[in-house]
Amino acid sequence: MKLVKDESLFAFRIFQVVLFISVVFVLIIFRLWFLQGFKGSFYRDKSKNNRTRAVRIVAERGYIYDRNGKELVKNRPAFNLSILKEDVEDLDRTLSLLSEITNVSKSELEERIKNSKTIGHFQPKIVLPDIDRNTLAKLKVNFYRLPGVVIEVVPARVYPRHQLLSQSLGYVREINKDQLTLSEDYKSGDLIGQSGVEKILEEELRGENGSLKIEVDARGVKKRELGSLKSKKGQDIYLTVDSSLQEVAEKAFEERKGALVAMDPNNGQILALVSSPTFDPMIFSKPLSNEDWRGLSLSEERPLRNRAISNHYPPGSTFKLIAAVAGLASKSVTPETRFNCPGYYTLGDHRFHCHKRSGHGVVNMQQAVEQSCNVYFFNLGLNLLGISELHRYGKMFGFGQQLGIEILGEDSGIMPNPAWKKKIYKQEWYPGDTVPVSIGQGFIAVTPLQLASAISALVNGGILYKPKLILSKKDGVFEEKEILHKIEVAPWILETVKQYAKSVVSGEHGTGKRAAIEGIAVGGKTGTAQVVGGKKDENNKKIQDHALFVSFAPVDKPKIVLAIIVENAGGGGLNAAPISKIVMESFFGIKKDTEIVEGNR
Amino acid sequence: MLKVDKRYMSYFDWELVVSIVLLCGVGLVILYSAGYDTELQFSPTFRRQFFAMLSGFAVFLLFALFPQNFWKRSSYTFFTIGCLSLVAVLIFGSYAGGAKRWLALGSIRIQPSEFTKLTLILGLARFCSKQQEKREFEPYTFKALLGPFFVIIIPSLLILKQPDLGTALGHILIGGSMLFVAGINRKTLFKLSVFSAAFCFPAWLWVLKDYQKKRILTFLNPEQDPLGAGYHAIQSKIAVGSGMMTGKGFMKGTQTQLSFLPEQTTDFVFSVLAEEWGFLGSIVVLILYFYLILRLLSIASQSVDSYNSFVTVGVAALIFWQVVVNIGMVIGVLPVVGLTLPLLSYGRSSLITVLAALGIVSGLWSRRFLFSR
Repeated sequence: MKLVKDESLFAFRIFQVVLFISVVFVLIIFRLWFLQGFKGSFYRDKSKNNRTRAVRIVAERGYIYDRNGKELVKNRPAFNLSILKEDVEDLDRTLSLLSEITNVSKSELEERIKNSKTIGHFQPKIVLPDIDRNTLAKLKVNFYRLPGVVIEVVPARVYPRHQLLSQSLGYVREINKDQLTLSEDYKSGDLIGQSGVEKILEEELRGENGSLKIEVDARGVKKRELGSLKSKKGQDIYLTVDSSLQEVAEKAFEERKGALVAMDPNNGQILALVSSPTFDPMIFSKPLSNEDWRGLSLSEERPLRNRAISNHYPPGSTFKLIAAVAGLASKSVTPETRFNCPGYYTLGDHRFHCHKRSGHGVVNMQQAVEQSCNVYFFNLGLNLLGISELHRYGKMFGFGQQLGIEILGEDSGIMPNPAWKKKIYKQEWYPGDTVPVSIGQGFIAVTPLQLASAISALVNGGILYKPKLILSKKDGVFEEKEILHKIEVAPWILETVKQYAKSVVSGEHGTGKRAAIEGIAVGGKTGTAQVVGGKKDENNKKIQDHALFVSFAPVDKPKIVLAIIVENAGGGGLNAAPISKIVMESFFGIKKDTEIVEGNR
Repeated sequence: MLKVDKRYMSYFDWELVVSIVLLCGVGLVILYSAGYDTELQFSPTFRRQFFAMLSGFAVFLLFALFPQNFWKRSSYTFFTIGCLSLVAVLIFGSYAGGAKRWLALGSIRIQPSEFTKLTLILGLARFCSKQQEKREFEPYTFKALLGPFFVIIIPSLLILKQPDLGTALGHILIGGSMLFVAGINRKTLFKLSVFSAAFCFPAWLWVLKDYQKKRILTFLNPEQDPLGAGYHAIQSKIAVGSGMMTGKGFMKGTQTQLSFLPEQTTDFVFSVLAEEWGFLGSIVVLILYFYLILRLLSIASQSVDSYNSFVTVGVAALIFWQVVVNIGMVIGVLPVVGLTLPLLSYGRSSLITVLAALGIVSGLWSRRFLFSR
């Protein structure tokens, strides 16, 4: 094959190219020699006296507000005492002086410098973080004697309401090694959101760091600014939570363990999200002792855990509202269908009891809901609906699935069916499994968040909304509401069950009377969830049942839905319904009647 | 299609591979130092570059396996894909620093103008080898150059539109070098120089953006604006010069560790090398590049097929011009334009492109036993 007209011509062109390249490389080498050899010491001096310093300006983190613009999380300036060793003339003398000013022993200062983290050579090392104003003033007076000592101003995170909403707000901590690899923008010592909103909106809250080029004199003191790239504060975030309602709700738990979700049923926005006990995120602002950390993360109380979204509980009798909808919608029963309750229900040789041992007698659906008759729902669930229908309607109302609240850690709960049991227990589904599920016991488990969403869908005409905790950022609004799906059930059915729930609170035999408030019709349903297997506590006493209560008001056009669970408190009507009353009264601005509050103890 | 013949191994150009691996190693050492953090030994930049390098070598090997007729047949396809991706950048691209250069593919961001350097080489080599066969390898006349001119100018204009003057210029330099080696007759060469000189004036008036003009003016007199546009040129010269003969030592470069140059892992990576390893270190790297380029030219001159020859010359030109323009910028003899230093600069698109190009050349060259001369 022929490549060129004249091979020697082609070779000549290549030769020309090689010659050209060689000349260029020689020129580059000459230039390098000129810079590094001939003028090398000139530039070396220049680099030594290059007293320009690139200082990183950490962006201020965005604030977090409640729905009414009340501050939940903000910042304050903190002053770090740092040392830039390269600028220190006499380390020993400097440390003596510093020790005098700060009342910290010289040996400890030395120790701190040794252990201090820096982000590279020629960057100041933090010796004393967050010094107080007095020390700062003393330092400033003596600054001229302390070359190489630097005061860095950094934003520190403040949670002015302390424990309020802490699990959902989350907290910030010094970045760890793994998180450092996330982005080039982080440096060791930076704060990063570790949980809750602080974590999930890290990108928005963080802002953009800036940098400042300054020229310093021989003491490292700033002479002039050479140029700067301004840092950009992170976005401010508004939550859907009403902080005053949140405060009332948290107080209502009085140290008891449990959770509460208050939701606007018309858009899925969360008005309060309680997980008791709580913690104060401020404890993370300084280094945490191992003991403190263990207390927070491992204790029985689990204060870091967001019970409202991460724990699941049997819904107990609150599930009867959903079972009632399923019964009517599948045409298994009409409102007039009656069952006799002798106080128990027999399946094979096993007796399932009603909570009223003497029995409710013959009851229709309204009475069964009002008085929370188990036998009615055993009949409905096992004989008429069956597990697959219960499963279908449970799923429709959002059980057994994550609903997609913005913060992390949402549990999906359990809405069981035969396939589920097969997968988990490798066993067949027995009729004896269906019986407890029809009254919200047995395998079924829901999160307080799911419970609130399901009741919202029940009372708003059948729309299951995505739960929302984050309302907007300062520039740009998140979606106000998001529909997960519409529940295809005739409106009269939802309305009928809603009225049944009203009779639970206002009816003669209602189990939820303690939730009634003045002037506004409240609907609700009590629940008492048995703790599995009758566990005993350390004193060998049987551990009490969980108390549950769901409620909504006003019945005609509900503005608020509550789902409440108090762990190991006993019956729902007695122990959870009063919390509903307190929160509802606050929500509707009704003056508290101290007598009744006392009576609830 | 991917049969591996034992002879490929013995005909494989190991010298080429050694120089490539050495350059990559130097690149990692520099990035390690430039991104060092006491808490985090390996910076995210370093990690990403390291993994990009591994995938780059995988691409190198893969491309070396494809036979010549595959590349020849699909040259135009690749060229077209390259141009379309540039159009996509103009439509869907994301802005960074005032220019649209990036295309987001899922979570990965790619810079098509890096890949089009290679697709231009393939397309132009195919076009010229076919055209020159027809013309019986007569040196190019002015008229005959019209075809190649369009092949070069299409991607270049699309890149200029982003705007990215440096990369557009890079494409033109690569194409021009290939045409020069293909042979241009003397009269035409003269005409071309006159034309391009005449083009400069209207280009200055209408094509160049203000910031591009500013850069060129600053280059001519950097001290005029020491904190603005001249900042890079001055700080870079201090970094290089202060390295002196033997350098300040690994991770001891004050200019580097103080981050005077924000682009020290990308466009100004050579300043880190020159500061920390001095004249000696710089010379070693320059010799490695020089060796790599000469080796490629030698391969080009020994190739029996004009397509192979043109592709190899194109790859040599790609490396040569980027090295010269980049280092020229760092040592203050050329204006600051954003061209990366091949195999050393941080940048996945650039690194993978260069390794892919070298893979193709190695593959073509290792099959030389299939052609009897």
